[in-house]
Amino acid sequence: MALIKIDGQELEVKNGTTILDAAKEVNKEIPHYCYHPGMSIVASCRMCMVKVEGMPKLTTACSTRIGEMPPQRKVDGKYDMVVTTNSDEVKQAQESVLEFLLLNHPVDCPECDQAGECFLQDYSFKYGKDRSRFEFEKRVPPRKDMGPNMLLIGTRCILCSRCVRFTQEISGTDEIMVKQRGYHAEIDLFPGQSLDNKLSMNTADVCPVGALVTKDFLFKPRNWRYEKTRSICPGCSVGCNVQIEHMQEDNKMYRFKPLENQEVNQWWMCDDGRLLYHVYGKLNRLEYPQVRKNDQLQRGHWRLSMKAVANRLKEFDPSQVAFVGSGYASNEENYLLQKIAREGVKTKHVAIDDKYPREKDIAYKKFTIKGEKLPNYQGAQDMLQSSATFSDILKKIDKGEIKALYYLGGGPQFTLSEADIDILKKLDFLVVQDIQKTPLSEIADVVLAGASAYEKDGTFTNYQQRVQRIRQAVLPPMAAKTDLEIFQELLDLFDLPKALRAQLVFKEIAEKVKGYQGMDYRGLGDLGMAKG
Amino acid sequence: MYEKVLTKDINMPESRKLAYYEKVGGYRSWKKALKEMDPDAVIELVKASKLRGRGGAGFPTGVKWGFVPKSTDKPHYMLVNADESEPGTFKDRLLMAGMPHSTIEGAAIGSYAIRANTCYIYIRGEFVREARILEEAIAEAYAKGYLGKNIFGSGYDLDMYVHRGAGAYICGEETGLIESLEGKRGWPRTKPPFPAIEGVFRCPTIVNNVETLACVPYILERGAEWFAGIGPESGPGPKLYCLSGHVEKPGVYEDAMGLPLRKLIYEYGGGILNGKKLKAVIPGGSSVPVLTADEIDVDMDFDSLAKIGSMLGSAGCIVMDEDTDMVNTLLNIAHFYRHESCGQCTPCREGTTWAEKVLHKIKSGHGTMKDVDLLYEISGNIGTRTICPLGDAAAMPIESFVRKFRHEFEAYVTKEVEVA
Ligand SMILES: Cc1cc2nc3c(=O)[nH]c(=O)nc-3n(C[C@H](O)[C@H](O)[C@H](O)COP(=O)(O)O)c2cc1C
Ligand code: SF4
Ligand code: SF4
Ligand code: FES
Repeated sequence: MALIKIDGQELEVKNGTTILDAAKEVNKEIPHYCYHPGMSIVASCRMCMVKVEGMPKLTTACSTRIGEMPPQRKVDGKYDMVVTTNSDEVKQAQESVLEFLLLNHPVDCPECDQAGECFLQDYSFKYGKDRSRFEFEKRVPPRKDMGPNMLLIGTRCILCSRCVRFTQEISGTDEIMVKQRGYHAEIDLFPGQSLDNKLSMNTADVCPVGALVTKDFLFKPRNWRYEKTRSICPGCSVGCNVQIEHMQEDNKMYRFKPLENQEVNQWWMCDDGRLLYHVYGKLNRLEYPQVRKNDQLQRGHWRLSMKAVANRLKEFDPSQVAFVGSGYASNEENYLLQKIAREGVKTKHVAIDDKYPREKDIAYKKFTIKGEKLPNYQGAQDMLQSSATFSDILKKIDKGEIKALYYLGGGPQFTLSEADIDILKKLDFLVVQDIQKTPLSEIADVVLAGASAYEKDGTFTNYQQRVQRIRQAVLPPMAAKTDLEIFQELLDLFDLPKALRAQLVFKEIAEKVKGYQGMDYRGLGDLGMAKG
Repeated sequence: MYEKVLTKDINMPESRKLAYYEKVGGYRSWKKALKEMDPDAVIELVKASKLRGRGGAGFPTGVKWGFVPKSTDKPHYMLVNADESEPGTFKDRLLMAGMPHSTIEGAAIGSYAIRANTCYIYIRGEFVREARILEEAIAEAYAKGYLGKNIFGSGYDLDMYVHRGAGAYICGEETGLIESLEGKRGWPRTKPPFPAIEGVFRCPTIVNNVETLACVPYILERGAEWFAGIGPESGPGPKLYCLSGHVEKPGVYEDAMGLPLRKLIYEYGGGILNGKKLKAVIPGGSSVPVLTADEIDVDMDFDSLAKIGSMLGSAGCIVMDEDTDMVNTLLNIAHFYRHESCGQCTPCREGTTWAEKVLHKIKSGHGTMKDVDLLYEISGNIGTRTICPLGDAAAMPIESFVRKFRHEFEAYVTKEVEVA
C-alpha cells in the first residue's frame, strides 16, 4: 500500500494503482480520452495531465502508477506521492489540449448523436475556452461506411485510438487502423476490410466522441430523452449486463449499451445481443389469451381461460400430465411452473425444453459469445430439478402415455419440426404460454400471452452459474400478462399460496433450490452473485 | 593535439573491408570480450569510460546496459539506431559507409554485455547504399566466425540483421523504432516500461546510436581511463561533429568532446561562406534551441551547451549567415516537424500544424503581433507535454527563434520586410 495525497486529500492505494484510478477513489474525475480501463494504456491524448511533486513536467494520470517509496524519497516524510489536479498549471494544460482538439472539430453538436454523452462536449464546458483562435481551413476527413453496423464521421474524431485498440486487443479482428501520419492521420479500414465482426458496435461505446456511431442509433431522439433500465441481455447464456434505453410514451426500446460487470462481460456485448430488440420487435406477438372453441382459437378472458386450464388439467390422471419449462423464462417462472406441476397437479413429468439447436461458441480475443442461445438454460435446469427433456416427453406423447401438456416458451425462435407438431397433435389437451404466434400455439387448446425478457422482472442464471437480475424496461402487449402474473392465477386455482412478485418467488427459491440457498433478491444487486 | 579515433582510417580505399579493419586492430576487442571478460565486466568498463549516448539524449551507455535484468527467461535484444534523420546530422552515415565493422563490432560487444543473442541494425530507408555495405560487412563477419553460433568457441551465439526503415523520422525515436521493427506504425510508446525492461517483442532491449557503439571497441582496446581522459569529465570521448550551412568547408569533423564551437566553425569550417558575418547557429541538429552569434563561445559537449539553454543533441551544427531569414528558416524547421509528427499526441499533432500555419501567415505578410505571441504560446503548449521528445523538438526551435529573433518576426508584421 502507498500513502498519497491528491489535492490535499490523503488516501491509501494499492501499489501499481494509476493516479487516474486513485483520484476516482476520492471522487475526483480526471478528464481523459485515450485511456480505457479495458485496453492498453497509450497516454496519447494528453488530457489527463496532472502535477506530481518532484517531477519536473506535468505527467499523465492514466499511465503514471503509484508505488511505495523508500523512506528517504517520501514527500514530507510520509507520502509516496503528492498529486495536484487543479492547479493553474494543470488547468492551463487541460485547456490547451482541448483547444488543440477543437481546432479542427466541426462543432456540429446540434446534429451529433453523441451530444449529451460526449466527453469533448462535457470537458469543453468544464475546462475549455469559449472561442476558437484557429483561423485556418479545418481538416475534413471523410465520412466512412465502416461496416454493416458502423459509420465513421471523421471530422469528429480526436484520434484517441481506442477503436483501433479495441479491434486489436478485444475483438482481435484488426479491421481498422490509423492511416497517414501526423495531422493527416485518420481512422480507416485496412484495404479490403470491413468492420464486420460481432463485436463491432462496441467501438461506438469506446469512442469518446461522436465519430464512430452505430447506424442503429443514427438520428434517433437524443439520449437524455430516454429512460434507462439496467438488465441482462437475453441473447445468449453469457448474460451481458446492459442498459436498455427506452421511452415511456411509446413503450419502445431505442438502444442497448453494455454495462460494466467484470465477472461477466467486462465492458462489452455482442452486436447480435445489442440488436436483438429488433428481432423481438418483429415477432408476431400473442397479445391476449385464447381458448379453443368449436375447433377455433378465440380470444378469451384471462380468469376464464385460466379456469379452463386448471379444470381440464384436473380431469387427467396426474401421470398423464406433463410440464415443459424454458431456458427463455426466468428462474421464478420455471420455479412456479414446476411447483404447480409437482404440488398442484402432482405429476412427476417436469421437463426442460431442449428442442433448440446449440450453436458453436464464437470466441474473440477477449470475449466469447456463447452458442447456448437460451439466456437462462442453466437456471431453468436448476429450477425444474428434473433430468427429463421435452424430447423425452414427446416420446411419451407419441406412445399415448402423456395426454396433457403445459408448455412454457418465451423466446424469439421456433424450432419444432413438423414431425414434432404431428406428435403434439395427439394430445388431448395442450396449453401454450408464449410470446409469439407459432405452429405450436396454433394447435393449442389454450394460448396464454406472456412477456418477453425485456418486459418483466426476475433472475437469470448464466452459463458461469451467476445469478443476475433482469428488469422490466417496457410493458408487454396491453392484454398480455407477465408470466408470473399468469402463474398467480394457477397457484390460486390449485390452492397454492400466491407469490406475486419475483422477489417473493426468489425468496422461496433461496430456501428450496440447491445452489441458491441463502441468496437474497436485493442482495444480488447490479452485478449478480455466483451460485453457492 | 587530438588524434582521430573513429574516422582515422575512414577515407582509406579498403576501409570498409574486414581485412582492412582487422589490419588496424579490428575485432581484437570482440575477441577480448568473449575470451577474457564476462558481460558484467564489459558493462562496468563502459560505465567507467563515462561514454554517453551519441543519439541525442546523452544517457550514460554503461548505466543503460545495466538496466537490463540479469535473470529473465525472455530473450534480450540489441538494436542499433541507424535511422539518422535529424536535419543537420550525417555522422552515422559516414561511419557506416566508411568503416561498417566498427559499428558491427561495437554492437556485438554491446549485445554480449546485455546478454542478447540477436541484434538488429535499424537503418534509415533512404540509406540504401549504407544498408548494402552493412549487409556485406555482416556477411564477412559471419564468414570469419565473428558472428553466428558459438563464436570463437565461447558458447556465445549472436545473429545480426539489417532492418530498413520505411521513411519516417519518428522511427529514430527508440520506442518508435521498436514498434516499427515489430512491423507496426512508428508510434512511440509511453514510458515506463522502459525498453531495457520491456522493449521489442516485449523483451528487454537496448537501443544505441551507431556512433555510441562505434566507440565501444576502442574502449575495450585502450581502456576506460584513456576514453575518460578525452575532453570533459562529464561526458568524454571522441566525437563526430556535423557542420553544415553557411560555412566554407562543411563536413563531418572528429575531435574530442567539448570542441569549442567557434573553433568548429572558423577553423574546421573555414569560417562563414563568402566572408559574411555569422547570425546564428543551431548546435545540435534542428531540434535544439538556436544560438545567436554572441553565444558561440561555448564548448560542444552535453553540459556546456545545456548550461546556456541549448543542447549537444546529435552534434548537427547548422550555421546561418547574416543574410539568413530567420522566419523562413523557422518555417522550414516547423514544416519538418509538422510533417514528421506521428500524430498520436494531441499537442504535437495539432500544435505543430497550427504553428506552421501561423508562421506561414506571418511570412506571407498577413500576420499580426498577436500571431507572434500565439506562436510562442503554441510552442509552450507542445513542449514537455507529449509522449516522445519530438514534441520538444518541434517546440524548442519555435520558442528560441521567436525569443531571440523576435524583431525579425515583427518586421514581417510591420511590413519592414518585403514579402515575396
Ligand atoms: C524524434 C526523435 C528522433 C530520433 N532519431 C534518432 C536517430 O535517428 N538516431 C539515433 O541514434 N537516435 C535518435 N533519437 C534518440 C533515440 O530515441 C535514443 O535516445 C537513442 O537512439 C539512444 O541511443 P544512445 O543512448 O546511444 O544515444 C531520436 C529521438 C527522437 C525523439
Ligand atoms: S473514431 Fe472515436 S474511438 Fe476511434 S480514434 Fe476517433 S475518437 Fe477515438
Ligand atoms: S510527441 Fe509527436 S511524434 Fe512523439 S509520440 Fe507524440 S505525436 Fe508522436
Ligand atoms: S487519458 Fe491519459 S493521456 Fe489520454
